[in-house]
Amino acid sequence: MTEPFGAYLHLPYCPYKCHYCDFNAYRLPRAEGARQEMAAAIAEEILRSPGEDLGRTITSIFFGGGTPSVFRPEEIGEILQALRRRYGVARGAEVTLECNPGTVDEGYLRALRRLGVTRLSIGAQSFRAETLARIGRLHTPAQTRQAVRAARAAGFKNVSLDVIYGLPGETPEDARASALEAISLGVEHLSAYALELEEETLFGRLARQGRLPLPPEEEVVRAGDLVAAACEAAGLQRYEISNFARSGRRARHNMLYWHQGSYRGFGPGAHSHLWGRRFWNAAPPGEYLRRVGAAGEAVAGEEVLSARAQMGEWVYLRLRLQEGFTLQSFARRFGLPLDAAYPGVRDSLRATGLLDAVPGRVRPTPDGRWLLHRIAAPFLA
Amino acid sequence: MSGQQDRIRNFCIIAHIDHGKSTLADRLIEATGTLAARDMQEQVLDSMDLERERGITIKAQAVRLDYEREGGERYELNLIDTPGHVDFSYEVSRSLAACEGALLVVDAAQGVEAQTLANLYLALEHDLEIIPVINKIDLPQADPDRVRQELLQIGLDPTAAVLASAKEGIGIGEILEAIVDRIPPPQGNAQAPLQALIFDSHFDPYRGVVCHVRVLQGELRAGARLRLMATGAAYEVTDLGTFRPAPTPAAALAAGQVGYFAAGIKNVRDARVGDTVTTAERGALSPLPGYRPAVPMVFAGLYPSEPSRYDVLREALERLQLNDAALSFEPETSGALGFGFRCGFLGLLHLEIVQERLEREYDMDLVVTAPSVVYTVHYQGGRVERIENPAALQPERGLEEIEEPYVEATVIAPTGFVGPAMELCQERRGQFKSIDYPSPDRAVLTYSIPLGEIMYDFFDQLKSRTRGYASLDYQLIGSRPGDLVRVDVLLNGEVVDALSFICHRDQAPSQGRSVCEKLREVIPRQLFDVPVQAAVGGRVLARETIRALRKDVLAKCYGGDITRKRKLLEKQKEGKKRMRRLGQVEVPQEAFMAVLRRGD
Repeated sequence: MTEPFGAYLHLPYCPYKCHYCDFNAYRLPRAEGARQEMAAAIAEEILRSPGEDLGRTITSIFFGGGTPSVFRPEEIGEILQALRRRYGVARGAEVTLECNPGTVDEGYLRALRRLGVTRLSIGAQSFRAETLARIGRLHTPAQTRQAVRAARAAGFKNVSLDVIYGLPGETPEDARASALEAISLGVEHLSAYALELEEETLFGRLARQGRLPLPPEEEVVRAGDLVAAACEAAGLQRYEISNFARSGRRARHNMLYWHQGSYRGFGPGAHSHLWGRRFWNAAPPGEYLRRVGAAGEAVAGEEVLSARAQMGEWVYLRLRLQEGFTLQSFARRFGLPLDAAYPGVRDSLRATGLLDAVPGRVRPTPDGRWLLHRIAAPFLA
Repeated sequence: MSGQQDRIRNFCIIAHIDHGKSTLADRLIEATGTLAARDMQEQVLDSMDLERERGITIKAQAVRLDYEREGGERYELNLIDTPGHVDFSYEVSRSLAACEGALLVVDAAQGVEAQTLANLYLALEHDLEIIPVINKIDLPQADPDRVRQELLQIGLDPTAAVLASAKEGIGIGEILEAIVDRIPPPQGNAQAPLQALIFDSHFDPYRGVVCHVRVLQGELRAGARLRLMATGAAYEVTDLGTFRPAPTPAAALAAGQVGYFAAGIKNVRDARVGDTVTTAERGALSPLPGYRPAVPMVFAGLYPSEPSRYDVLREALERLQLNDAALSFEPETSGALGFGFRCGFLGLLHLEIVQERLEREYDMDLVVTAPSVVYTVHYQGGRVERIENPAALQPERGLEEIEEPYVEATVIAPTGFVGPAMELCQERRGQFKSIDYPSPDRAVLTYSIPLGEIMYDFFDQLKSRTRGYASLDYQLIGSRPGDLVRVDVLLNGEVVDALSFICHRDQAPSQGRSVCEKLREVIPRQLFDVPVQAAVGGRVLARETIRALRKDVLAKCYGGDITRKRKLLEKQKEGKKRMRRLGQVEVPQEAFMAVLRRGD
């Protein structure tokens, strides 16, 4: 089997911005040609990207954003076509597109399916109308159900829903109810994220002013545990901190991230990782378009990880996975045993009850999973 | 003309804080053309950055003003600036000893305040001619008549007061005339053996210690061999002159004059403020009165955040000491903090200044323990020890008695606030001594209060309880026995020596509780519940619990942006660096100061 290689496409426009979102996303410009111009620039960036990636066949594609589903099928198609021409896409590759309820119908989804999109990730976030309004989502729970039905009707066999817990005004039971609704729609995959407050968002500001009714930490943890239990009971197995899937339906593209794999990102602010070198594009759409127009690329920064930094990052990313990693896999990857690279660290983490004591394997305990950054810190030293 | 004593006037400006001392000094410098207006930096005399930022004078400075009277008579006016904070009262007294007169600046709206009084008494002790200056008369709230009334009540001639506004340049000419007319010229014998008073010194990396001196008798000449009478050490003058305000070389300083000299002195400790300079041969028989070595009153532990920076801290302290004779330090070891220094300071402001200079000028990251006064401990069997660090107290050896330092505190407050002011003094174990009414609406309270009770937040409390109207001054009056106990603080069941403090037995429960609450607020949550306890002799007085952290993980990966995630983690680690690990508990630096705010 060939080594996995991913492509990430950042489509930065949204019909509106949610109160908690600090992603590189912008309100869709009114000008008719804006989407088209963006799609064309991304295709151009792909086609003119340097040959270092050639010889790699893409095994997973992810359209993220923003709200990729505000783009027309022909614009998505143009980008996919560019990827095929420049890199080649493996047979059976996973091609995911993120979409928001209210922006998609069966006809649109059929068109995507014909273009080769194999997987949909739908942003449900909550199934309480009141909560959706509070967090600035302009869709209803009914529209979420409708979107999943449309996906099925269009022939999608691999559908994922996103939900958020720890939302203002919500109890752990509310979060559990949303998860149960999502599960009852029969999806193959569920991502359940704890709300993160980012400074530069409306929620960040409100929280600083003490005006956001956030649940206490204890309740967020309980909500997360309730959601996880509901998923597991329904046969959606946790494979990463925030991700649950039926057997064989893990998101291959996301696994690439956790496995420290290589991927190329295209579009404003998109990140790439090629064998220890991480680099990223200019984030503002205007600047991105200018740069691609002028030079065919828009790289704005990079970092080359030292061997030590790669090691720490590898450990941190693998610890996010339910199975953690084996001592053997670490030694194979880096040529020395974990305990030699980080003397004493594993023992002290086990002593505090954050790491499991399974022989030969390193993985967080259930409590440890909630405190992953505490576990990761000594490895990133 | 130099050397003609009848054309010299030496004076200082004394005032309560913010009554306009520095601005007045600036105007005098400007009006005499010593510095052109365009070269004036706001408040020339406060030359340390810290002084300008805080609007206070830390080090005394001197400047020579050449004043030409109408009719062409020229005078040499030496303005000697004095530190404005009670931590530096000895330095103030030495500056006063270098003068014959003083401008007593009183704010026309605020009137006489505690420091006005304290400084006035000091000036009268030195037999100085006082010229009252009622400043800020341009303010709408100015009430010069009321201030005149207050001046009368403190024994000054109100008709002699000059009305001025340094800010607006009003009354400056009149003040200069008053200086010449009313302040007596120096009366030194130019033929007598040299006696010069060091009223300040600073360290210059190229010339060594530069001493600021007032020549009282004889003459100080370039190239002369000198002897410093307190230390007995001899030096040869390499350089001398006057401040105008930049150092301006001269051949000699005659009796009555003020200036500076350098003599290759390596350390300010060898040229102490208050010491007498004389010639190595045929010198003066006795020194000038009033010298005393600097005595630190407040002690605190200074520890490097990173143990590996211990040597850097020692070097930094050594270098600061070159310029700060009052700073003392000795190595000490803390079970909690490792290797550091127990440092002695004149007061809390002095501590803060040293801490800031270490952080700014030497890039030190410090853990400072709560300051403590010096206790005199009588153990059974007659052994007596001075305790500068509460952790050093050994109750198990059997305590006879503990003495603590007391001050006499003067509080001036509007009569309407006498109640709250007295209440505060009483809460702080003050013993009432007297109350006076210098004017119908103002009271002067005198209390003896333990220094340990007054040094932290007493002044802030006083201000807040009197809506900012009360003022405070105090001086040390010796030690007295008290019913004192050491309160130990336990984190996760272990005593943290750096958090121990000594207080009165009756206050131990409430202060212990307050410290526990403060610690619960400032110590971040750990992976487990952390009990915080305060105890006296093993008996727990208060307990709080820092609840365990339950969640510390990012939920989401942002389009493959692993960099952002890792940076976030690295930032968390940076924050950790500023923490000290005590046993299993990560403690931030401010925790060690929690003890300070235990009275809140």
